[in-house]
Amino acid sequence: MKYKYQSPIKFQYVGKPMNRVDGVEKVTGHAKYVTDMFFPNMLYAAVKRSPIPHGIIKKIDTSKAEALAGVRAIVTGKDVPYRQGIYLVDRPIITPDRVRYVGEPVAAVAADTLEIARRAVELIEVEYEELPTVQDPRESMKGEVLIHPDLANYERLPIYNIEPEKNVFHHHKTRKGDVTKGFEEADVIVEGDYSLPQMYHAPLEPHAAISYWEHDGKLTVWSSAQSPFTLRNLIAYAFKLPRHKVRVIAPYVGGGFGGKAGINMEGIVIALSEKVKGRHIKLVYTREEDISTVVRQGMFAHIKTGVKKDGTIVAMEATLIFDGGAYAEYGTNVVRAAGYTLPGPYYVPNLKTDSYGVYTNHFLGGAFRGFGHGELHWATERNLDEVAQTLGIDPLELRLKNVLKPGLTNSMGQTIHHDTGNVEACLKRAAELIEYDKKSEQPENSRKVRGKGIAGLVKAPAMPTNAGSAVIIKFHEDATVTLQASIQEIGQGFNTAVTQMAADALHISPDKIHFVMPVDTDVNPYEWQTVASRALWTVGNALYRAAEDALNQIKNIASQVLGVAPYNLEVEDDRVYVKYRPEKYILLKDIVMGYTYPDGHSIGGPVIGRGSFTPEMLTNLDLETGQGNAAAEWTFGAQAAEVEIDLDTGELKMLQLVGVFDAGTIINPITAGGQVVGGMIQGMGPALFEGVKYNDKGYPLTVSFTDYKIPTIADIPDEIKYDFVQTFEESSPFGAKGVGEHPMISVPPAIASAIYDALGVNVDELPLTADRILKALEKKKNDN
Amino acid sequence: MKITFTVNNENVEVDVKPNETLLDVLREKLYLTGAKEGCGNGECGACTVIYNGRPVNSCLVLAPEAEGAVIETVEGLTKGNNLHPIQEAFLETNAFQCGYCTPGFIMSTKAMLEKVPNPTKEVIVERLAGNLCRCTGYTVILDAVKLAAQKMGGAE
Amino acid sequence: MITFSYDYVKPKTLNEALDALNEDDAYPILGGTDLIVKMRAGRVKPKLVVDLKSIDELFHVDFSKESGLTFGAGLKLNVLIEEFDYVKEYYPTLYQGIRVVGGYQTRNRGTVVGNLCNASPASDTAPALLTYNAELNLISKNGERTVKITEFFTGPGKTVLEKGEIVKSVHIPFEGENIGRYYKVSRIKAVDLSTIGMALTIIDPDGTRDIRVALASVAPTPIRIFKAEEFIKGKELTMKNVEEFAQIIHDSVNPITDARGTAEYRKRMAKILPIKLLREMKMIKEGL
Repeated sequence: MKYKYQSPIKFQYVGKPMNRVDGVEKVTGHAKYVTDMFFPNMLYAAVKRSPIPHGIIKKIDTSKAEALAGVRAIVTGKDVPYRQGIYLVDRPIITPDRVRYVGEPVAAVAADTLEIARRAVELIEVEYEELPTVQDPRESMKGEVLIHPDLANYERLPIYNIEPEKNVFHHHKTRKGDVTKGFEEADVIVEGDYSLPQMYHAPLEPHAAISYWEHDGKLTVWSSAQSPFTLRNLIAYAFKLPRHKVRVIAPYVGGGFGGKAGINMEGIVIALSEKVKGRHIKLVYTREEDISTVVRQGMFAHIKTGVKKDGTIVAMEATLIFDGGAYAEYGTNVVRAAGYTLPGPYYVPNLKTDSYGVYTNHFLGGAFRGFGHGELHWATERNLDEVAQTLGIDPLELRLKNVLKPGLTNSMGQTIHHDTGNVEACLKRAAELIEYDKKSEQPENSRKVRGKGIAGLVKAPAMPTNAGSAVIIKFHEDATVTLQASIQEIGQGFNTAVTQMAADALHISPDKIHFVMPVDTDVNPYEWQTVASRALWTVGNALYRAAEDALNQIKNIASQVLGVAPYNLEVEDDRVYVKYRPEKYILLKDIVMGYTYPDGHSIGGPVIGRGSFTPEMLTNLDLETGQGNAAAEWTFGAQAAEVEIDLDTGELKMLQLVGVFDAGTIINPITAGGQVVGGMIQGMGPALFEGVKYNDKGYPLTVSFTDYKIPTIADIPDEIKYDFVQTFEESSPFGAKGVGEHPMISVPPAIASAIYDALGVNVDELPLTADRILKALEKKKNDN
Repeated sequence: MKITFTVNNENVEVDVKPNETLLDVLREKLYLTGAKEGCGNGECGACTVIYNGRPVNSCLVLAPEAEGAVIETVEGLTKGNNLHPIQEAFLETNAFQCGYCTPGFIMSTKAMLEKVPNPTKEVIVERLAGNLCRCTGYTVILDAVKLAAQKMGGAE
Repeated sequence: MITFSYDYVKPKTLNEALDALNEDDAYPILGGTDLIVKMRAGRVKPKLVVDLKSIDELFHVDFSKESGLTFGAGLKLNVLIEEFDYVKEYYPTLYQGIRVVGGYQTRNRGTVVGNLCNASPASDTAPALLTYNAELNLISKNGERTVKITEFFTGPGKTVLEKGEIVKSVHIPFEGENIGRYYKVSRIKAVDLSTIGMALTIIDPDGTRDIRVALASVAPTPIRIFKAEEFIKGKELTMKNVEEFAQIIHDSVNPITDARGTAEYRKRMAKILPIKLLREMKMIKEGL
């Protein structure tokens, strides 16, 4: 079979820079977020939280709070005996009996003003019986302190393995080839431990929701949410409501990064609404509350790699132990995704991976940009560097030797195809951009040294096999178009990219297309979630179908009017014309509401295009071997860094960051570039200084921006460079796939690699603080 | 208590309580919601307004302290339906993503360019380091400030 | 949003202000960048907030080489360094310290005196002021007194200020030409509290070479290390002497581990920074 793929779409706008369509609203300050919404007679909510990391609630006394004038409702866990969770239903809306981390909601108040609500919260008295806590997931697996004694009874998707007696909410296994045999064949085996702490999303807009429950039973929730439909589904599930009685409206989201995926704090304000129907209730988290709401999981990893002398990897054995915090919920799938993607973008014939998600008395770990991949690549890329050091091979050369290529299989046994993506090209281009072949120029001040490093990466969307998307295209009287796709604009620029895609799919100019905001589940077509870097791919497919549907309707009407077969018609710009006689045409505006003959007789009707898509050919993974078709498409990439380290203080200055990604067709270089630069700086944070800290009793220390630091404009590298490799992804008519999460993934290992290049030391714990760098230097000195 | 101050060239009289902040008053009483509360502790800059000619975090000004102050918010920048050159610059360089921090950055930039029409990178960094952005990685914001300086006649 | 209620007054005269401050749980406010944060967190709950910004005496600034620099409590951090060039010229260490307090917005509200009264061990202005022998003029209904900055701090968040007493102004003598560095190690490169801060000022660098050193974030209060200064006085700045000087500083501090750094790192930096700073100021006779 001779095979050559051709895109069915002619790209006129796709691939070109187009300024963002949401710009004017945002630079004027007019863009409305949930926090900016006010309703007449609105109530304000506040939440009472646990001051201790683990304990039994003995008694809650709300009488003083109830007596406060202006208090309209108080709820405790007893009022909402529901648990919620997208994958594992382990998280109470408000805990009724037991608190599992500092900051866990135990009660909530709705009052006439925020001041009264917060005062009322202070008046609620809670008695606790403290329980022993567990901080380290490795300790937790001993099961001496059980955090969820009822875990075995929780509902969950059948794709997860729980081990309740060990606090394990998911144990993912990959068994590929024969590792014992593989290690026997190895000339050298290199193993090491790699770890990172929990990390906070820190969107500038904290979690916020407004709830309104009408007496007729209809519930409306405005939420700063990445997943309006999944949120609706989870609300309906928890509160036992039919889906059509729940409406979620999501205006602009002031940053999400995974933290606003699924359901978060919405249930609390809905629970209050259940008691005060007919009034809007607003709950906006403070920064301190937001930090305690959801974080990225921490991780301890052990990686053992067997290689031949020439650098060929023959076996790998990996254990990832995730600090899942007090509740797993969404995080269950993080553990799975990290487990099935390990060892990253390399071919390993014999592989054994055990990825454990473990409960602790820390903040709950959920979805975060990268979804387990920043964590797993920290371990595997570091380990590969140490393999290269042991073998005396250049780290880039080692990687190039082992990259996944067409014909090889990944960890799940899926075959890599010619259109899967090209990590080799990414690595080579990143090396070129950072001039990897040239050693860093050392500064004249001899007390500072510089070095360069590089790392690879891969990530596929981690999603259920049926994560669907739908698109509706409506033509108006003047042949302008509104486009409804329920991907949430969270800053990534989807509104802009999808406008360009729709323009090319419909053969009209982008200025005739309006993307409908906000996403409203009563109005919009279904969309699983705005997560997983999947929107361009999945919506791209649905959009193409919707556009074809609309064009076919137009051509069918035009066919009758012009007396020409539909396949001999073409739509372009403002008209539908006969392909072989372009001078014969009808203006679109005369046809998109139906065509009216001069005598008044009309045919057709308003054109509405409809398209749906669900990922094709996916299967669940075998629970014992991790083999199967879990990933639909992959984005590969490579990242490089150049650093300068002060030998006296260990302080690190970023000279360069480089990222190259194969995300298929780049729809808009501006918004794609925005994702890349922003993602790389968000990846630099946990590389250098970010991390949630707790004291040894489980009390958090980094509770506000005073001590949870994120990069400022003063922290960015002197130079940031990026590029794209564009291998056309053939499972999408646009050839496009995601690049939202990937830029953050391998920044930490690239920087650690650069530190090694500069100093000859390995730092395997994140963040790479001055303190740790100096300690590693000192250890090296002592070892010599 | 009643206070009066000038906001975006208009005198306003507002009934406030001492425990409200200027940010609370702007957002909840005057419905000027461009300034955002990102932390409430003066650590993120999302609530930046120009206060007597200098950028300040409006979350760290008590409402009664603002008596007699001259305040500019992002809402005051557009004149007769025209964007301010700084807004144009942010628009043209796509110097925003989620947009939540953008009004704060724009107000910090305006205060800076009024005093330092042609700022060096060092000055820009010093004066914008109090504004956090989690989306962009800041490089486009640097571009926007330089372009704004040009548009306002400062730069080369 | 602050959850509790309180009264607010803005007296026109110092006398009225001092009367107000004598009331129960009365707190003065100038910049508010520390006070409002604490009020929001419920860590302090004033019944009365006394705004001192209408009191002219608190906004006085005066400098001459003979009498030194005196500035009122009301001077904003940025106003002091942007509008009075002599701070940068004659008190370079202080200039550097002020420039790294919080973000630009915070420095437009916050004051040096507020930074001192907050009495954080991590104060960025205190180390420089310690090296410049600053004195604080305190006033209350009972009268005025002058306190050396070395005696002002008594613990984290604690000072010698008594009920109803405020710092009216700061006086810094001008002791001659000087050079200096304030070096701050922090987790991120701006808008952070120090992991460790070190002020090193050299009065008359080409002559008597009087070296002063003070640190932040290594003890319950910002501290000056007189013992080290006495050691180095009159000595040649050979590497050996500088190392011993640094060792004394190291031995004089007693840091803790917290979210901003480990005790071990801070202790290590207490020894490394003086050498680093003297080297960067080209004061060390290399090769000896």
